[in-house]
Amino acid sequence: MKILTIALFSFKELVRKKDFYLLFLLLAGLLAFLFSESFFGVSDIIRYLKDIGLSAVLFLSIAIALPFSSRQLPAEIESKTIYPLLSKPISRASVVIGKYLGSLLISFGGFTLFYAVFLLAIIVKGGQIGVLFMQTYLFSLLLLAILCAFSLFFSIFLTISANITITLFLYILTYWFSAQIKLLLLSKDLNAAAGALLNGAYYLIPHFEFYDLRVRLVHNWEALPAQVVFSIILYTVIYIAAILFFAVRAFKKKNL
Amino acid sequence: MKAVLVFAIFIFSTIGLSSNIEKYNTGFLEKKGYRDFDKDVLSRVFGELRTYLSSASYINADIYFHGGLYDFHEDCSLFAPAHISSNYEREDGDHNNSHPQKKMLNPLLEIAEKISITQHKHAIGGEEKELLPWMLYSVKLNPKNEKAYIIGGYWLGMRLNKLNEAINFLHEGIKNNPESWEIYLMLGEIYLVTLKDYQNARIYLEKAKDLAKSKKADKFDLRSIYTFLAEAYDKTGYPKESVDLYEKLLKLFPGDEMIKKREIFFKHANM
Repeated sequence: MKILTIALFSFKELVRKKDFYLLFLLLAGLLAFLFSESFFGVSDIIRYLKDIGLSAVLFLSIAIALPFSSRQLPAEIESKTIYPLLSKPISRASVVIGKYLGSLLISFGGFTLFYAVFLLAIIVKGGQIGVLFMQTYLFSLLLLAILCAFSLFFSIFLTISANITITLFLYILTYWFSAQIKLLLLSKDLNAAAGALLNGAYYLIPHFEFYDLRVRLVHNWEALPAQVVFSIILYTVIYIAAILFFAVRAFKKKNL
Repeated sequence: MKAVLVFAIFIFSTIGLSSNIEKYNTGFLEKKGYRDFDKDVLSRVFGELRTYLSSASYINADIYFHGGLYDFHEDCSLFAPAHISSNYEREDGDHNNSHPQKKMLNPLLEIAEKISITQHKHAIGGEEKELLPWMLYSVKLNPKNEKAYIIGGYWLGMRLNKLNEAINFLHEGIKNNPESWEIYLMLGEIYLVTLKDYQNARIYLEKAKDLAKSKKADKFDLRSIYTFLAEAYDKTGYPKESVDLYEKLLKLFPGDEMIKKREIFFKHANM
């Protein structure tokens, strides 16, 4: 209950801050522009809208999620509101979990609204909404959840701007690295020691590429089998639990 | 009153200054050879980056053609879709990006493999239209991107039956790239093959031939120009020119049986 109160308090920030409304207008403007584009009088061209639209939705959702989640703890510490909070019978673990849930609510809320506008544009343009759209929605939420966890963890040690930069770097670099490691692991000429090392690295790094279903969605490939979807959900839950475990430990040790 | 005065001074000085700076900038850039700079908003925003973005947009069209995968094989390029028979047919063969079967000990690797698209498919049967936005963006970003005009014209004119749009698009390409024999060739091909307008086909193919000569095109390039032009000559009542071109082709490809047969056919037909 205490965790939920902290989470809901954080969510109110989304409504109060102007960032969200500005990004929402940006997205609506971009989608309206894409929607109005005409290509040689050919009708029913839709994939470019799916492609650019979904990328924009993800980008803007991350632009909401990262600053909000990275602000959660430092803002409380800076404004010293963390002291009255901790003077109540609330553990530091509850504060971290509550702040994380608040970040999730903000990110999920923002993404859901953006995604709804995106879906509306697709439907009006004559596109079909299938299972892949639901899987893309679910996987995007999972991506935001893992990014929020990282951002919250880094916020215990870093300033807000450094945190956002590091988390974005982590997102981009590991996306690229995991593809390279995968190629190396699948190559035939890999010795045992290098294989073990790369396997270890592959387990350790976050796999943001798991959540990217853009190619499938844009080019009308088949949806992922349920078994794979559950595996990725499980992977995400375990990964987030591990990050939050270390975040709670670090926050408990932090001198406030 | 003071505020109005300050505002008036601000407005007049900025208008005066900005027009002078603009004149200086345009003059400087024109001296350096950037003639279109003033007309194009994208040039102003992106600078030379637009050429890279234009290439990226063109590559994206290729990716769209392959169902989201980037394929480097020439036999599978945007220009060679004839071997496909059904809508978005799947391709098996060694040019797919599938990895050799290897026992995977890492479950995450297995998930990654299941998620990734390893087989490609071709956009055909009307799906080609999805490539068009990227062709258009490509030439908007860089009007000097000849390839985008040629391939865009090909899809519009030869595959999507949008003949007027194809011709307009290619004419715009010629306007922006007056020395491009490839665009003239594509225009001639559309007139010849799709529209059966042999007079116009001859005009554009002759232009392509002249430009290709001055640009020293290789013999394979000349082969397509000569073959189409010979056909256009034949259809418009110039049999001698048609035979001449086949003789030239035979000199370029002495052992080519198909050219030999065509040459003999035209010679006999015109005797």
